[in-house]
Amino acid sequence: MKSMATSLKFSDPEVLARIASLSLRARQVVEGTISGLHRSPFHGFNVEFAEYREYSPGDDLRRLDWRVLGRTDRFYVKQYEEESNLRATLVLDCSASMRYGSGPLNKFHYAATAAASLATLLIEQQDPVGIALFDRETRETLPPAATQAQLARIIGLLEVAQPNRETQLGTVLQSLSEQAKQRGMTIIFSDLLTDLDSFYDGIRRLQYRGHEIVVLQVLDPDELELPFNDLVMFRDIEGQEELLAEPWAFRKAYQSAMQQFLDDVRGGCGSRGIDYLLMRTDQPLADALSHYLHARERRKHLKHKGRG
Amino acid sequence: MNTLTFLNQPLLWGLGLASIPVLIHLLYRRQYRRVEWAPMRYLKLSVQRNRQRIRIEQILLLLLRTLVVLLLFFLVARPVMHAEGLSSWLGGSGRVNRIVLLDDSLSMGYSDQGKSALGRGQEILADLVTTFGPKDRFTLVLASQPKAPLLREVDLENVDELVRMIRNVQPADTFGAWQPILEAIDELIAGGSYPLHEVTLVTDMRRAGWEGQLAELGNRWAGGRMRLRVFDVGIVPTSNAALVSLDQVDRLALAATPTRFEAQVRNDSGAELAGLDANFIVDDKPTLVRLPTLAVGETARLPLVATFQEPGLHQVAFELPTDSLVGDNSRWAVVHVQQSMDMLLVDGEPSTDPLGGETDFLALALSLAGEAAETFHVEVVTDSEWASSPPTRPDLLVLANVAHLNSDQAILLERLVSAGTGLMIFVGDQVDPDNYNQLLFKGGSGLLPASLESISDGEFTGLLVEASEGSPLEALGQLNPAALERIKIRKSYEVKLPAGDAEGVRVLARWNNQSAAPAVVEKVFGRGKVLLWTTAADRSWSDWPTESSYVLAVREAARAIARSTASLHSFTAGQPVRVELPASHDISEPAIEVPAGKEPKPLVVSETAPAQAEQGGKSPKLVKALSYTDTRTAGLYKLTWRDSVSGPSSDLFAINPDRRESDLERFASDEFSALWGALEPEVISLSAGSDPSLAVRGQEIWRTLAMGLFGLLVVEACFARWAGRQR
Repeated sequence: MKSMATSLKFSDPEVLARIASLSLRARQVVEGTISGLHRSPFHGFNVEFAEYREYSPGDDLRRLDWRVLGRTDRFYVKQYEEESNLRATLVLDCSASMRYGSGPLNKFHYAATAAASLATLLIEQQDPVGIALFDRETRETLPPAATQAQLARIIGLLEVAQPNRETQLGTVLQSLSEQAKQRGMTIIFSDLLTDLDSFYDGIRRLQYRGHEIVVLQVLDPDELELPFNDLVMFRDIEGQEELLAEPWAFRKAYQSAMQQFLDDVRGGCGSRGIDYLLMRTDQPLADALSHYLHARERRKHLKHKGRG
Repeated sequence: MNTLTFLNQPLLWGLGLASIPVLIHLLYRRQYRRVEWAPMRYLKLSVQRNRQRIRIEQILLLLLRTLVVLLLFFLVARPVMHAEGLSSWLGGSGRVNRIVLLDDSLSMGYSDQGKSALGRGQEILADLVTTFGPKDRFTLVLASQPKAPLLREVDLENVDELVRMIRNVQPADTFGAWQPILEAIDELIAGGSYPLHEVTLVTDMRRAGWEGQLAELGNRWAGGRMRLRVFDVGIVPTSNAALVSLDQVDRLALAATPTRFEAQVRNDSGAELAGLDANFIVDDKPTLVRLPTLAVGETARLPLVATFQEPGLHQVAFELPTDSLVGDNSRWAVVHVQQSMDMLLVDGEPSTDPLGGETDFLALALSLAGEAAETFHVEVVTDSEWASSPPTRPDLLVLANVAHLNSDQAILLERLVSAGTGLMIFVGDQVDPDNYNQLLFKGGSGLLPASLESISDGEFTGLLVEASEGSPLEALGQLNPAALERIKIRKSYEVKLPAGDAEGVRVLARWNNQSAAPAVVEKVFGRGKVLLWTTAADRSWSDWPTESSYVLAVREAARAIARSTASLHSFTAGQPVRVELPASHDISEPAIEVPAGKEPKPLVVSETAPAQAEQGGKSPKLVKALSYTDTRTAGLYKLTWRDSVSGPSSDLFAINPDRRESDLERFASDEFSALWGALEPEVISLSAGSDPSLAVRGQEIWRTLAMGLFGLLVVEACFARWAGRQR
């Protein structure tokens, strides 16, 4: 409860919007997010033993070799090869559609804050993090690294990014799959208002290359609920098309169509073994992340137990 | 003919404002907020799926709102639905026999804010005739003379002339008795040229006069092609003081003798009446009379006295101050003042001895010197003299111990009494009871109030006067009781009153014996009265003639039953006046003076049977009659003519308003409709505040439109809510 209260206090979009610095914003979210996490929800992929090394303060006690301790009364930790090889790539949609926002944070700012928060979290646990900003093509990329400088670069990129072009997520993912030589985790932040077939195709290619995919779909509550009560000229945010409509006359139909869209995405991700999370921009960010990370932690725990 | 007309026609320009919803819709489409939208694909998908429905809903809503504006301005323009126009529009174009019945009875004169119900009715009719079709036939009937229509089945070519005629209708002072009026209308319908009939009744819907059975007539009319439309122009009464009556109390008015009158005034106002002065006018000389304070609904009886110095016809009137219903504020009376009262005493047992004759005490008592002794003219004849002399018409005839009568005498007596002569019958030893019972009692239908049974010899003392309103012996009740207790009776006639509660018969006094036998019995016969005294007029049967109470009794009784001329000259509005003269008289230069402001119609002179044949008489002789029927207006009517025998002659009549018209209680509309059986009259109520000209072209339908508008607003609100719901 304490964790939840804290996350609400520090990661409410209203509060976050008042923090100008993205790094501070991310820190704020991380403070709320990691509270209560016993261990990192992300682990490396390669767990082959390499050597022992003497324990030094700060090492994870889970890696203590208790048998060696019993035999020699010395503290050794197991050193694995590629221990820190969780190479996370944050793929952030900075197309024009992400510009929409009815609340204090638009979708892009919300997604950027979420990405910065995850980057902070991962770099703190020494995991290399890279980033790719895309619209209809990849605009900026940073290969993964686990340094504080990398975090600063990531935040710097996010702060200057301008969401103002069309989306072609599928193409971008295909391109990324070709660039990513090493396996890793790809965390996609997007509203997914794009060609889903192409998106799934890109996902499939990434998965083929051994990437774990996490999709964080960011949507504004307006886009889900269509709450307007006056005549509205809707203009395609990524195009020129306009449509004058009375939203109340088809609100439920629209909500139903959006729900069908979300169900399709959720189903499509689920069937492909992709972690999927819907994030509403009016939702406390730390809360959303915390829920997801805790759920992921529980899933991992159950998975290990199942193996044991 | 137009189906619809509009009373506020200029407001129809407002119908152009029906375009407002369309303009608002178009302007509304220009005022929108712009939103840059990302999930455009799903938005378009939703819009496409609902586009047709949304468009239909919008069009329907627009139509509803346009209709609301149209209906609103249609309503405020006050459309009047013209049934005739409607029927022709629907295909019916038959010629209609239109009968308009205008209630011109007295109550229609009730005014509010200077306008009477009749005036309102005239406005309606004047407007109504302009709406009739040119092929229709028009009949105009006044309620005061239903059998003589003002117009009968005339073509509607000269509407202006019709309007002028309608506006010239003057209010009458008659009573609207609707059953005979409507039967007259029924006759007009039966004789109508066209099969379609429409009766339009303009009335104030007062309850009085509608007592008849109209359901049968209504059922018959409902079965035919008949329509009844009623315009209720009545005004809810708020103030009215009604002069209910002005009566001459004394049956006989004698010159130089005070004559008593009584006026009855009723307060029909909703508030107390106080401090009002009325006028009592005797031969055009008014005297102010202060009315007593009258509570709501209270009736006051005002005693009035007038003394006429000269014999002949005199006029009196009583006038209340002006109020809302002027018609019942005045009444008139014509007083026939006689120089003296002529009394004929028939003595059945005359005597030369002082006070030995049968009528001596009676004649003495009646002719005693007093204030007005000269006005009592007593003539005494024996029964044989009376039988042989030509008949006269005394004011009072007394039969005292007359042994028996022949049938001619009995018939003569009946004729005299029924014409108003007073008759006193004193019994005695000579009286043949069988003769009296056969010729005078006649099983209860004759003159004698009771049948004579037998003479009773039992002695007793005392007379008991019955308390009875208007009793000729009323004055005896004011005497010291001892004066009546000492009356000593030695003989009396036992009589038998008619079986049951005989009409017009009452016992005025009883003897103080064991059986409380009737002493004086009265019978009203025609216009006259008969008093039967069950003792002798002289001292042979009692000592009463020597008592002062005897003098008082016979004098008061004589004046109370003496021939009355009071009602001979008074009629109610609508009743014809008539002067009858012997057939041998030639009448010339007949003329009539009618109440001021009225146009007199010609007098009718005819040779006819007398209006009132004597009861039991032979076939009546023809008489010359001057008659005048148009007495619908109250006031004094003076007939003048030149008689071949008596030279220039005149007679005066008082025509009074019908008192029943002062009852201003109104019908409820549904109660009125219920009178008509299967016929459903269309009752159009025009309250006092409304403009009467509005309704005549048809029926205003703004209420219906208002209901429709309300319904449309509800539908619009519901539909807008339904269409605007989230879908």
